[in-house]
Amino acid sequence: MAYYDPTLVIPGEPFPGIVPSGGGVSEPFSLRGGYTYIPLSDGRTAVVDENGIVLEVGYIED
Amino acid sequence: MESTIVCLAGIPLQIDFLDSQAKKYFDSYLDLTSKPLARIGLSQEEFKIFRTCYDKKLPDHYVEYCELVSKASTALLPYGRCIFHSTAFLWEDKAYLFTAPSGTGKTTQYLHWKYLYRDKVSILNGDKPILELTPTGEFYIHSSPWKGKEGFGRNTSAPLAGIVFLEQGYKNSIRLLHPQEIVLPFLYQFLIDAQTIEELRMLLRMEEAVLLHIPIWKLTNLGDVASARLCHDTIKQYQTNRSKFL
Repeated sequence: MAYYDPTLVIPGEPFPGIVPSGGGVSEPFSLRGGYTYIPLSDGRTAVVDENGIVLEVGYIED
Repeated sequence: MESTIVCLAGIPLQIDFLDSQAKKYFDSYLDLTSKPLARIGLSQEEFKIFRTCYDKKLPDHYVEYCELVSKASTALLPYGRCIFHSTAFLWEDKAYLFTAPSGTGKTTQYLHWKYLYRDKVSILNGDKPILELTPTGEFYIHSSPWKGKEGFGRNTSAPLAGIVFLEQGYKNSIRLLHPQEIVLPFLYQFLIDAQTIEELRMLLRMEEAVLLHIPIWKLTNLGDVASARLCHDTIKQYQTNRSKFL
């Protein structure tokens, strides 16, 4: 099961790994509204668009 | 029983935890120097009832964290604040809310905006921001520890500029709502554990103020990117026209 390193996942940047999409999405990934939800190793979630760009990462606190 | 003090929308609250592990969800909101203005917590009896509503796989501390939201919201009400079920985001230094019952597509609508407008928008709170009505009649949106399944949120605040009520449909359309059209659906989006008539009165006063002073659109949508563009362009046009008259 692939859990990605959160330090490499930066909003606005390409996701540092293969982004499953369409029929290739299976647990622990999920597809909602055309975006792929990817679990990270620290429990956060990255949301990636169809171009592989990270839109948001969950549990952001400034 | 373990307790801590958190600051929510500028109001220090003491939280008494049944399970000390629930404390971790509030780490970003700790305020150990202020004197709390109110105290909240679940009783063992309440917890037993709430627990039956959740999947048995979910840990007790998570259930407690989730159920503290309405307690916090009710405690904030005398201070002109209440938690409002919505996705709050920042656009041009103002806060906007997407609100709708769960599963309608609030997060997806925000992600469509993020996809289209990138750095021009950013998330404030993914699920349960705090709405504040100041004594001078201004509205602010604050983040809260309850950020939804995805955990999207930043501990920040901004003036409220508009609300979009989402509805799934077979085509995309948007229109400005008259307050009378939205009174009940809007009321259901406030998360509150009101036990007294006075608490309900406070809530209704807050709702009336929002409905009378904040523009509210209804976006019927297919859940696609085009709906986000329609919503963005409509609000932008409204703000542009409005500024001409100010």
